[in-house]
Amino acid sequence: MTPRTWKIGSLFLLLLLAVLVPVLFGIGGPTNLLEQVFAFALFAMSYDLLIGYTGVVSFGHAVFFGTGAYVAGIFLVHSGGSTAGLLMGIVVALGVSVLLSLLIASISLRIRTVYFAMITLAVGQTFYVLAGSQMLQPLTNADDGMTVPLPVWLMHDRTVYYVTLLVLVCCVWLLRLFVRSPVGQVLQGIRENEGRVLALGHSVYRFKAVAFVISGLMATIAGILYVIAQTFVSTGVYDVSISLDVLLMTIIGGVGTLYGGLLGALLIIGAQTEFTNLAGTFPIFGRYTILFGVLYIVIVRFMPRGIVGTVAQALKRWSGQEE
Amino acid sequence: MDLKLAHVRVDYGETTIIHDVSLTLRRGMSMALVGPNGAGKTTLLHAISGHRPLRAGRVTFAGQDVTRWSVDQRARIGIGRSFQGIHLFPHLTALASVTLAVAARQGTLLGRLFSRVPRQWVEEAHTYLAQTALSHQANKTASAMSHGDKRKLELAMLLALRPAVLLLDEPTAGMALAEVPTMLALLEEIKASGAYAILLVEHKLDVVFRLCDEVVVLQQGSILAQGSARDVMADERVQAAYLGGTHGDSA
Repeated sequence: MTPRTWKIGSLFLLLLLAVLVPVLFGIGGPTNLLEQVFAFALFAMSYDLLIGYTGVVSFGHAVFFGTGAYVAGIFLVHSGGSTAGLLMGIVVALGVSVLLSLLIASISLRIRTVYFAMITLAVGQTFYVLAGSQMLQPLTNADDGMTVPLPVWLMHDRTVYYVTLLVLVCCVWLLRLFVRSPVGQVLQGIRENEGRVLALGHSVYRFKAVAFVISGLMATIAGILYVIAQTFVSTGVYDVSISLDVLLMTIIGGVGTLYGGLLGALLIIGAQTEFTNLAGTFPIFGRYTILFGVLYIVIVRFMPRGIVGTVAQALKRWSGQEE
Repeated sequence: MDLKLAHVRVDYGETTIIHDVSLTLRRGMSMALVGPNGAGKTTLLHAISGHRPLRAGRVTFAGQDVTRWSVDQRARIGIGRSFQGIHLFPHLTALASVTLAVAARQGTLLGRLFSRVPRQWVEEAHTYLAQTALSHQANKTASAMSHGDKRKLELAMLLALRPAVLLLDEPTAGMALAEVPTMLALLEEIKASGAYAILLVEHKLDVVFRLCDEVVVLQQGSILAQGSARDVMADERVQAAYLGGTHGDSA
């Protein structure tokens, strides 16, 4: 079997398992957990598009995730959970995401990577403060957050599960097309050697901006999925720790692999949930972030390509396809 | 498609590296830039390709003033360059690297956000790899290639841009002696096509004699002598300054 066959086979098996989870394990705990995993998997893959495919590091990517969650949440709350409210929320969230990413790109993508990372962090924190401010309390319910009503057809847990899964599959397919497109190839060139891409005549700034917009849109959709799955949104969605969690998911799964984000999200969200449960009996597990820190060091030191990247490389070597 | 430099001056901080250099390069012409290390040869290429801003003077190409154009803008209108150091995509295959160069001629690509790389681009990339004797290396990453093959890959990418001007910065630098004749044959073939204006920075005089119709000698950022290779090398000032009075092996 070629590595490509392995990849397609694994993805198909994962999809089949995901489809069968409600049948095999019922609705409730496992599906609720997986809905969260789906949202974060998409978020992590959107982040991989930046860090793994373009070589751009953002510490404030949660600004898009949070905007997706908040805008959809606000429209749902203020429309009483109507379908029209949901659709309007999605459209406006995506529009805001495009404008926001273009604005951030225009002021920061021309400067050096480290300053870009700092600017994204600052923008993310600004939205965090805004979302919790009393001035916007009528809109966002400030620090208390909002319980979000869903349309009647989305009330059933099974429907929410399959809708989030379907959206994830569609977005993964789009992302896959994107990274294999001529634009995706140029982005990989930028990651490898920005100066050489420029000397070939490609407008590096324009391509980075495109990557930032697409990545922002995917993170926004992830935020919308999150609010649909959780039916609650608070300032936490803008928190820098969310951006760092997603960075961890991407690195553990495999930077520049796209699918690594799926695995990273499953591992981190799964571990967070398990450790939180165990903390009731063994308080030490309440400090699970230390374990994540150790895991991060181990992965970076011994598996710099992440789990998916390392496995893919091993398969290539095994099948004799490695150069 | 003339490339013209008029009274070009380039500074690095307070230091002037290029003083008042004027040159004209025409299609089908091959010109060598020679001079000792630090003479300003690579800096002059930087000034033409847009990698260094000019302090004074103008660069025009095909009648357009490109003095303030960016690197990518100049590359798009046909000013292509290779680099003295290896300047490739380490983890992309040779085929993907050349395809990136082919793609650079296809406009903004924004209409191709979710479509595959067209087959004809890939086929075209294969022809440039074949032209530079790299077909067998198509699926190898640049980092896994020999130094000589990396140099050829630089050239393949450059040709794939279909530039009118080739700025070649020491294309045989660091190559094993056995690999140099292949590269020279390639460069001669490129020259013979008459499709390009070639500006070559080179230390090896045998390469200069074989490839170039005209030689420009730079000394401390100024033109010391200019003319046919034989005339320039016979110039007493050039011999005194660089060759110790005879035709040595270093410019």
